[in-house]
Amino acid sequence: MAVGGGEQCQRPGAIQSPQRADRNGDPAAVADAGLWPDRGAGLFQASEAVTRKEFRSYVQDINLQEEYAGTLGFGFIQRVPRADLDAFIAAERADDAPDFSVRTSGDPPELYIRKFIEPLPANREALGMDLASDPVRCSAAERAMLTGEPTLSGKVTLVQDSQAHAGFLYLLPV
Amino acid sequence: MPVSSTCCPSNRNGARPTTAEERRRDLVGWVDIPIAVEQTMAGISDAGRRQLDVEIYDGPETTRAALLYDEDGVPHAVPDANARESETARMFSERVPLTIGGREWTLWLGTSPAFKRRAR
Repeated sequence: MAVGGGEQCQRPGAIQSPQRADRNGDPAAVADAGLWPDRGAGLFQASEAVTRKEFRSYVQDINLQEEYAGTLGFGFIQRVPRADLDAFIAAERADDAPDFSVRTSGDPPELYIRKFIEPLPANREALGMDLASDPVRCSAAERAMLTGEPTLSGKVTLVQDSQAHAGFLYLLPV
Repeated sequence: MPVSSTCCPSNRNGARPTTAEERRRDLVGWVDIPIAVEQTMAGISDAGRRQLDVEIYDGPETTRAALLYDEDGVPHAVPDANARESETARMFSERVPLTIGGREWTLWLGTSPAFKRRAR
């Protein structure tokens, strides 16, 4: 199965489809076994609407940065149809984030907006970012969505890293 | 801490989508973890640091633009005719292709000058 970014990503990169036969030793397979916090997916399946407070409390409980060196935070990206953008922003502002704003460019039909990211003080720059605006982040999100597999993005400069070191995103579709 | 046995993308009704189109239809969003490579490697490469040099590239090409991590600050696997210390100056080196989370990486491993001195 070859999957492409379609009209959503502005410049989709090559997306590799999963090969079950290659999964031995693949860290993504280790992720499947629960080493990575796929419990986050459970959080979103458990309740229809997760509030900012619930998300913050969840991230404090899992102690992510102590367990996994190099993880700068734990976030949630929501898929938002462009027509719903104003209502989405209003809802986020009402949910304990009065300054919530979205940073986006281009006009794909959907936005992939970072709705939560904790701990917030170190990640404030990343909140409200539209991943669909960035080809590298967008194509990783699309691959995760279409394959259902945990996916790494290509090399990115993480916006929350003031020293602009190389990094990547780990995305788990929910 | 609970550990599950399988990863669990599932739709809002709890049914597991089986095709790409079903997954596109049902997806709510993504859990997102930003990872800084240097900090990750600082936690795991101490043991072999003096004997082994490690470079990681995003993709199959070992270019400066693709460099994710470089142990010693000199990217030996980047093709550069003027490099003072190229890949070939290392006693042993190897390129290892990896696929991680759908992403192709190239791991370059080379023995360090300290290794060469001790081997003589």
